[in-house]
Amino acid sequence: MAEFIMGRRHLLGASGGLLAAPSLARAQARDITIQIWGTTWTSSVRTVAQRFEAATGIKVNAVTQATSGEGLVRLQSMRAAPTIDVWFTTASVAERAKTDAQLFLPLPMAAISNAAQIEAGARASHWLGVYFYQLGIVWRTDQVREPIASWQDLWAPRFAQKLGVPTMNSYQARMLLVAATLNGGGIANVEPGFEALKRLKPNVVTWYSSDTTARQALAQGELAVLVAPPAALKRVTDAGVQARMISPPPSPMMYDSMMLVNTPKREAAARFIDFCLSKDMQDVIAQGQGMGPVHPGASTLPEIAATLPKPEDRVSYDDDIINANIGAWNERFSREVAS
Amino acid sequence: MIGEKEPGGISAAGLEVSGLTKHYGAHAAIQQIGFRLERGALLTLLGPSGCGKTTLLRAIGGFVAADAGRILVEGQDIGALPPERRPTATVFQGYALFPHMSVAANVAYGLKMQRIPRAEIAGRVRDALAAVQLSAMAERMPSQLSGGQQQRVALARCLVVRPRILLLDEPFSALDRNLREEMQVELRKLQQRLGITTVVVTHDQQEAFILSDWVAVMNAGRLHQFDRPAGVYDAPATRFVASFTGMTNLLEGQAEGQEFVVPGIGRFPLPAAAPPGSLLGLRPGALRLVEPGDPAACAVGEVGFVAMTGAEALCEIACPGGALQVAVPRRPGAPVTGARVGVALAEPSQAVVLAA
Amino acid sequence: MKRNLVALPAMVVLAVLAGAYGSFFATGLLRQVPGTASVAGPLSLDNYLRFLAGGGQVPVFLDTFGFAVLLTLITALIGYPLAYFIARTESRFLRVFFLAVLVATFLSGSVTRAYGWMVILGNRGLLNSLLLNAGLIEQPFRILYRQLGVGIALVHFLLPFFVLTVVGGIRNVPRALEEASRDLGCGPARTFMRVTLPLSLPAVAEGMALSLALALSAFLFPLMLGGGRVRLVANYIYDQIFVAFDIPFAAVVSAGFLVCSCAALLVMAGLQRLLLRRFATGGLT
Repeated sequence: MAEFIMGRRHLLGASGGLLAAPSLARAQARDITIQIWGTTWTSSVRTVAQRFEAATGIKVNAVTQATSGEGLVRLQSMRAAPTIDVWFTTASVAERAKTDAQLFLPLPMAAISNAAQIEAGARASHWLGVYFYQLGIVWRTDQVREPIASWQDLWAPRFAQKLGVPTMNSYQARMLLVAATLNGGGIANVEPGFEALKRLKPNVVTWYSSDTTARQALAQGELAVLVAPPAALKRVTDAGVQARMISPPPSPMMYDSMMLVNTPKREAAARFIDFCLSKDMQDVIAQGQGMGPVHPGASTLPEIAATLPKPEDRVSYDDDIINANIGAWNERFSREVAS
Repeated sequence: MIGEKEPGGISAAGLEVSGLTKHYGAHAAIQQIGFRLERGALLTLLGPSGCGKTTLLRAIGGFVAADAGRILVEGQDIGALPPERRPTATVFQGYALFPHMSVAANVAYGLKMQRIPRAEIAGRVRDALAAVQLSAMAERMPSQLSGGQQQRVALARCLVVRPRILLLDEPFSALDRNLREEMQVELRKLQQRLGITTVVVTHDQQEAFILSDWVAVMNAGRLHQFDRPAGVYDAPATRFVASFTGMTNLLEGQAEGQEFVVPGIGRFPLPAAAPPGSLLGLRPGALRLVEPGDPAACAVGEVGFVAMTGAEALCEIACPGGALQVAVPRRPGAPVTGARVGVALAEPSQAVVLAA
Repeated sequence: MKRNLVALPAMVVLAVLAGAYGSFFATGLLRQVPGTASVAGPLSLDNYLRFLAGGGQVPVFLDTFGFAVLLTLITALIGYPLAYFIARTESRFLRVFFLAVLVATFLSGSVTRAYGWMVILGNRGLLNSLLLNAGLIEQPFRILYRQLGVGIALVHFLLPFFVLTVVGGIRNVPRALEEASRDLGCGPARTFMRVTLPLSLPAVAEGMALSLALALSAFLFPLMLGGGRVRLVANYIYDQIFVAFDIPFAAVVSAGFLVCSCAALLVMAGLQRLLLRRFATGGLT
């Protein structure tokens, strides 16, 4: 997820909070700071934070990040004394980040009682999923008469100059992996994926790296079809655009997750993570984001639930392999596909 | 028209201006200016700043479009032509030499525009630089020259195109005093030798008198007097011309027979053919100091103030009805402040009677 | 001694900047721990050698320099007449109006402006609607999401910098010089070519150097308006840091690009000095 709006006010607020509480005992932290994407904050987590403060008296400040990658580099730059207590990040970037033992703490599962409730795939030693989503196909029904049934449809001539497709660093190469899987390859052999993306070029209006601007382009009619998670469907229908979404197989599943940063406020931070995973807050988050809840008891909006792929269609790709290769894939993509 | 003369004879004048008027909004920069200047004569436009003299010069050069009136150069109406097609050339105030061109290139500029053959250009540039004694400076850049040299380049740049009218806007104002006088003489000699009709703008009456065949005195957009320098000096046509040319004693009164009576000051003998009028003009130099009882004394007063001006001292004599300024030679026994003195007229012909 | 004290704040700022650059470039001596975002020793010149051997950045560098030079030239071609008009118009109202419009573009944020360009340049945007309605085109003309759209947005971004620099240069050419040229028989067009233009060239070179520096460092417009197809050096460095997490190599690319950019700007500065010596207006009114 990406937005190019730096939350300067949030940043100032955060550093102010840090100065005010330099060495308060861990249990007494009066506030914590989270680093999160701007839209995620405004559309659901801010509400959760308000409820959290009402319940515990602990205030939650937010610092926004354009992308998970930017958030990680910022955290690393403050490794000696991080001013951020909880970091929201894509799970694949979390996998990369967790190797930094000085910066990130293993999650104290005993203190996070809700962790045991959530689905197993959303639970790892250093991160806990906060919602899940799949990459699917969203289209405007006014511009696309015949519904889309499969990924292969995207290559059809009827979609010439109609598509918005995530670039390599958006959704961590999932589009490449889907294209590879469809064409006889897979994560171990992305060659067919690159070939397929090259064939897709005539249909692509924009290879997008900011999903805010991509959604905007869909809403304005610059695009008819967007490869995106269900949140895009929610945002454009909220904006009054008639749209539908399909999640054809293979349907890559991803989590956005929370990580615990090594700060003196870790106990308050863990309480907040736990709070986010409670059933009620999972309802708030999933419905606010237009994504899937990780708590089995929680539910998202019915129109979003309708887009979720059948269990047998779901795939998840190995983040370690992605992390090891994404730099090279991105270079190749820029050179051969996007140029 | 005040002081209009007929210098041009029957043939077309070198420069003839009539009814020339220019307004900036409601403000009239020049109004109904008219004169004729014979070929080869030098005219200075004299007046204080803001009098319209520069506007008039720029109107002749084509940089100001007049609202009304005509400008004729040797009989040809040039009023509608753009500057580049007028037979005029201007030495601008500050010279406006092209800083990115050498002296020679500056001088050659106008000739190149006329598409004159290269060889001829070279010869004419050489001659023009020789005429202003700058042959050795041909390859210098303007910034490497002194002010006087720059001015001579500006002059050469104009003369080389052989204009019918040479226009100079305050040409000597940027030079120091010694150089200024030298350049004034040099310009006058060159202009006479070439016989080129010339108009110079100045605010300095001394300069106007040194340079000119004719002087046009202007104030507030109007032409007050067009005359020979001596005419301007000896017989100022208006109160403004009188005071601008240094006639500091302007006394209100009336003529009674061969005397002019100024209430509270005294009675002054008049020249034989004085015109009627209620204002008597006397230059400080036209008066002298005498004993209070001297029969020649026209007025009696007290020395109020003495200022040294060079060879002379300027005395202010306080009379009951006002003060008189008198220039006296500096020599032993000069008057001192507080002394009672009489004031006499050195020469009755130097008294001028003005209308008002 | 006093002078040294006055220079002190500037020295401190410079030292901090140099230190920041220095630590960043020193990072280039480390290497990325594979699969992580961390860097580790031992110190080596491997990243610098990889850069010198052409570690994938060469086409991006060439594209960036080519694009920046092109944009600078277009900016100068559009900007000079605009600057000339502003400097020489008789109408105070028009001068103030145009200057205000230019300054207003400074005040709008880049993100806002990028969204504005999306609305204007899109296939369903204002420009295409206008052209379609006017019957000038039958199909929408694709401007957005390619180099053309990025170029338009960048030229618009560069114009005020260029124009405001050059307006001063043209206003410094004394009117009397133009009048002298007219007076000597040269029409308005030739007067412009022989006097006004040459004497304003040092300012043009300065404006172009500024435009070039800004164009070389463009990041946001390629990212937001380029449809993934326009990748300049800043975007490349961004990808090295935030996608590949190869911060050491990003540092080396930054250092290399800084050197190349400084070289380009030094050439421009030399050109300007040459022009200044040739076409100085100083010392004369």
